[in-house]
Amino acid sequence: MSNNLKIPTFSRKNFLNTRFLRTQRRFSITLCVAFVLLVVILPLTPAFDSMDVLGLPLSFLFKTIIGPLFILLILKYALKLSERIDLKDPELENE
Amino acid sequence: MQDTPLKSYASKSSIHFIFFLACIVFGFLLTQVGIPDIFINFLMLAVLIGGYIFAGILGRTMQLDAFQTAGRSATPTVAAQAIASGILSYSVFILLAGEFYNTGTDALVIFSGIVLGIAFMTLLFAAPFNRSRAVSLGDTLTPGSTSMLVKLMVMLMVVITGVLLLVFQLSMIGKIASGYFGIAENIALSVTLFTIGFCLLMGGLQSLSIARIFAYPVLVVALLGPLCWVSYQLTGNPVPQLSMGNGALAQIEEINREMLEEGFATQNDILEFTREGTALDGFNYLTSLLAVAFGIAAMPHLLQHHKTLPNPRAARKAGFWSLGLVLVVLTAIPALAAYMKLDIYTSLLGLQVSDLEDQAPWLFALSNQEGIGLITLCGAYVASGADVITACGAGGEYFISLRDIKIHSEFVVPTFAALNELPALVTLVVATGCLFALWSTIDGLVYVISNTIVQDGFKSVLRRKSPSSFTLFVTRLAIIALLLATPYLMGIFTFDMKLAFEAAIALIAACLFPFLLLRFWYKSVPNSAILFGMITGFIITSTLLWLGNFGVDMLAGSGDEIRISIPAITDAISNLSSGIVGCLAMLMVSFLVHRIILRGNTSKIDKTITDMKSDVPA
Repeated sequence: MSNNLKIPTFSRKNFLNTRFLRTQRRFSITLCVAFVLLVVILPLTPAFDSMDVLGLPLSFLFKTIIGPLFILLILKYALKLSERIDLKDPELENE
Repeated sequence: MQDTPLKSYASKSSIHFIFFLACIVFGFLLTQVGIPDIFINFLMLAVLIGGYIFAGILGRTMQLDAFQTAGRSATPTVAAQAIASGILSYSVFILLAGEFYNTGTDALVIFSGIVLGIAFMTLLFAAPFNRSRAVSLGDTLTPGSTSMLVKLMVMLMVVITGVLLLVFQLSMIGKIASGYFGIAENIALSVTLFTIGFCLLMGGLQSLSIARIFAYPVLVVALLGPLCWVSYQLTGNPVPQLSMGNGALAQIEEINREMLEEGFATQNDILEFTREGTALDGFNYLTSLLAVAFGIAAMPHLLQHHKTLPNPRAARKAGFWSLGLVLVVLTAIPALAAYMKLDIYTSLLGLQVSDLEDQAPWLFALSNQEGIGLITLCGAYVASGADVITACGAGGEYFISLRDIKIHSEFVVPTFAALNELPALVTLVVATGCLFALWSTIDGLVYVISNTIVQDGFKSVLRRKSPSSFTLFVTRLAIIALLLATPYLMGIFTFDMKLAFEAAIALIAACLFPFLLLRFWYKSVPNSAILFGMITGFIITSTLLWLGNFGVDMLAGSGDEIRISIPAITDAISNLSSGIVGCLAMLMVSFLVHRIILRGNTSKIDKTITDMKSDVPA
């Protein structure tokens, strides 16, 4: 057997590090989900109904075009964030 | 070693797309020569049937790994197209435009729910679902041989919701085939089941992914092609999303104002679909939207595509791209409703009944209960001016007003081209797109139901150590059995199609979504707690659905239906909202049982450390 073979070892430091990463991941995902929800709920406020853009009520434009594009943007950011956090995680060997 | 066809998908997808375009051009030439319509109909059907046969042959395999996960060889763009085609089903591709037309902003529940759902699926489930090496939802959620009851409960949920969605999609096949292609409903259904069956039996998820890749460009061309053309013709702007406001809605508002002034309509008859809805209050709007989002995020036939990717990073990318691809079609759907409305307004409103046969002959072709039932006048399908006179109870000088016209949502998209006086071939192309949308959802549902029954039922309960060749054989057998049982299932589930869709979404939101959330993000909740939660969520949601739609006597529309109200919040909980009530109940019961079970145990960290230490090899 090769001497270079790495045997996974347990340490409290590693464990706490993993817990920290897990908390960080959970927090960032929650934040992204909250943002995504906000984009859907925001145009329900009456202020959005009073203005027209391109012949469409701003609330409708926001719900059908601007909002989904915002969500796409948030998703792009969330993917980068998740990857960065996952790369530090010793538990996720597949990444 | 077999090739992995998903890696070189671009060339195959291009071949199919070129074949599709060639069929359109050839069809156009045949119409110029005067060849009978039936041959052109078959030509367009060849795109659909040929695509599935081609996908089946390309993805053929005798390896279980390739059959169940495509050997994890897909690229993010492949999985993204497959997920997008799966989402663009009956309710999105065919029904949604009509729902915008008829219910206004209430249709945003489905629109925004889909966008949110894909975002949730990508953020919450794509990576952990891909990370698991299991091949079914039950196995992924309850790895190993433990928690048999939970696994069976998951299987039950996948089968119930899958069958509801399957029957609901299949029931539309016959209508499109008979209305637009002149093919009898039972023949259309048989061809559908045979072709999809061939594709799935040859290569399982691998062939299914290829077929869905073929479907996506066809769906885009079929929907956006005519819509962009109409938008360009009317406004000079080929982007319907941007032109609909000034190009259609402004004119509709002008006509509405004129009708009000002339006394042809009251304020109640007019629905400005970008500003108001018809039925949902604030509570039901938000909860229904969340239910659709949760339902889409946890839909097994969409989630399974994340298993075809090599790593979680690719799974996340696929989710991101799938949202982009869905938005290409989804954002255009309100515009289609707007241009459809403008067309109905300008070609029908204000005409006298005696003028209908001369000035709107299309009306009688599109008001056929047995074929294309787009429109009813005064509550009846009409085949002639005399029928209109009978239905409206007035003479030939009667003016058609807004309240006399009813549009049926499911025919809005396939009839759009005909109403805008585009060539008949364009209507056939759109109808082909509609069939592709239905097929590209049915295939995934058939596969996921069969695979779940085999993996979570047969393999977990009866033969845990069955060899891969035998498992592959049994999975193929299950697909055949399900396809043969489908006509029988369609005979049992005969209720309203919209109800089937809402019930399936509500049950997924109530049971599968919270389970996935707990398993991937709150791993400390034990399976026993989740089982209690799932049973509670299922019972509450199905009871609300049952009471609200069938009542105590189990008959729909008998008048004894009971809609549960929440004082000061809502008068009646809608079908979709019942999924959120069930979801909350599921989470509450799971956490409650979890606290009771864990009470008195050692601290969680110490327990976990002990578990981890025992896992480290000596």
